[in-house]
Amino acid sequence: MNDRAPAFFRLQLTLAEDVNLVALKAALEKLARRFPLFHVELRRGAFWYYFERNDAPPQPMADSLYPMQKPEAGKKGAHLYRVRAHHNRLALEVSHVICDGYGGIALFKALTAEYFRRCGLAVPCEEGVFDLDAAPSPEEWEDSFARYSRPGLPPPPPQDPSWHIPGALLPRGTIRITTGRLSVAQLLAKAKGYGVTATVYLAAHYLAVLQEYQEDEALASGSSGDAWRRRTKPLRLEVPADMRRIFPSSTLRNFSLFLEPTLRPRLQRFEFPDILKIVEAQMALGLQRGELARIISRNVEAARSPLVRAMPLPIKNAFMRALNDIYGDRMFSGVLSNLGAFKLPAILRDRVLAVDLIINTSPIIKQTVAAISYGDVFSISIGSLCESSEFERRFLTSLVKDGLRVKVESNIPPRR
Amino acid sequence: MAYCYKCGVELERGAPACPLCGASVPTDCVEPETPARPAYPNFVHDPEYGDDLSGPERRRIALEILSLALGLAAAASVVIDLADGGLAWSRFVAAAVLGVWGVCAGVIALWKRPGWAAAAAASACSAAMVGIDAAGGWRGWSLAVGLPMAAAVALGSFAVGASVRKSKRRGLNVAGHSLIAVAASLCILELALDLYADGRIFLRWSLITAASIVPVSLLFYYMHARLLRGADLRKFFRL
Ligand SMILES: [Zn+2]
Repeated sequence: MNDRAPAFFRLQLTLAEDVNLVALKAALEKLARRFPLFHVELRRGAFWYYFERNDAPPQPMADSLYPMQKPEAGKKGAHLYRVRAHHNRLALEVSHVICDGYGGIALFKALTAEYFRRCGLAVPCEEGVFDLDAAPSPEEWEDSFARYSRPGLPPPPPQDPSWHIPGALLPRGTIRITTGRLSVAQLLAKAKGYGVTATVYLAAHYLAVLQEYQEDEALASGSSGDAWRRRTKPLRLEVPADMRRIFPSSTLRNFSLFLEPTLRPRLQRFEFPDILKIVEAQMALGLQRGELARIISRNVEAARSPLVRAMPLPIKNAFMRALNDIYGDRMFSGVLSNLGAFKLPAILRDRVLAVDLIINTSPIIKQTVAAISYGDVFSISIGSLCESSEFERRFLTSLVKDGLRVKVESNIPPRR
Repeated sequence: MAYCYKCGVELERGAPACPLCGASVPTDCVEPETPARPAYPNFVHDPEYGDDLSGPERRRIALEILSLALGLAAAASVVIDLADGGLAWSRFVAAAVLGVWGVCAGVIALWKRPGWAAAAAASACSAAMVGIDAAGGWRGWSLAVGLPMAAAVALGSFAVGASVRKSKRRGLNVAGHSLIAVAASLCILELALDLYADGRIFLRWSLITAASIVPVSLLFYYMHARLLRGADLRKFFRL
């Protein structure tokens, strides 16, 4: 947990009509009974945080120019998710403390379907929409990490710190969201042309952009030739992968791990086709069952350590913050999360115009790229804490230079 | 359709500038249709800070860490002393630790009420001195000297705090108040020491100190008054 950048992510819909608050309120009330996992609040004890049930449904909240700021987590009676509305925009902001993208999408789809039912549409429970009248299954709040932990596996090798985009930060409590929308068909055709998936294609672009950025920064600071490469840090992305595809589970709780495609510009300058090959191979390697199992086991065993358990919470928190800075955020130059296709029942096709995913970022990593597709629109949202929009410009124009059409919008105007 | 001529990206209907590079869109490219509604509201609406610790939470955490650290220190010294052959010097340590804990806990708990905090700190301090006195075989110095001293310091800080709170302009006058309080406390200390040592009052060093401190504080008051009346700092100090 971080003061400045709480681990929140946001799913948002653009509807054909303005949000009906009465229907939204009723939908939220109905939702509370079906999703007990989300109806908890975070409380602090002497030695650990614990969850306490909070069955009251959250009230819809006005949207803000800067989304995902100042969550109430830890306050009495506060939920770990909130639903916001502004004109025809409906958004769900969820804390990573309870769930990952899979759980967030399940909640959001159920909310959307129930909202439109309250508006008078007969929305069926298909395309992953949960039946709100069914009883919740205990499997939905299972800790799947614990189930698949195999003590005794060798721990994964340690990582070295990576390079970060330099520059001043935006004021506290603000974030810049830049969304680029492109055609799914065009993007998939492009990726297929290179023989890779859309995620690999985007990760390769991301790393290529960071490599160029790093080079330009080194040259701008007066380095000449290749001398700067000797001191340069690696470029590493954090790419969340859904473990449910590999380890069967239907939990809504966190069950994702990171793949870590990495470029080492210290060795050489990489051309785009090489980056594609490297990213594809590294991600395939990272997705091996054994590799994942040892990461799961390391994480689970670390939390079970009696030393960690016996630490009083304030000290644990201080440690966690320091360790997250040193071992979490410093290891990664960026984050790329692709949740894939977001599908809704066919009856909602004309009611929901667009879907976006936004992930909060930290002052160390500074930017994140989050993607989701709906119909033929592939939406890429960059969340940034940098004062300058240079990364966004480089990333989205590199897609344009590769022959894709991108339409761009942002919550705050650029500084010149 | 509006494009940014620099980045090649498509822009929202009616967007005045490119969100990536800031280049403005030539007016002939802005279509005359109604501009699209902005995707985000133009106001900031957030619930109150939750992840930031509130004042009471911060104080509770400080108290927890303090208690843990002092408790560990006291326990360690008792254990070492016991291993060394019985409870001897660790009694002083324990009494001192308790005193420090009391002073800090009082100040932390009564942060918002400085008067009460000063009183709590003074009582904790006196209690610790009584404890140390008792641990070393009762000699009575804690009551005769320690108690009046703690009371003097608490009263002094309370008086300074109250006068600072009352004064509309704070500056060098705070330094003046503090110096006077120090001089007064020193007088009380010597008084208590004299009474404890030989039962007679014979103020000497504290009066000398006070005589040298009071003019300095008067100078501070004078400067404060002059500066309040708008004297130029540079001229005042002949710079
Ligand atoms: Zn531009």
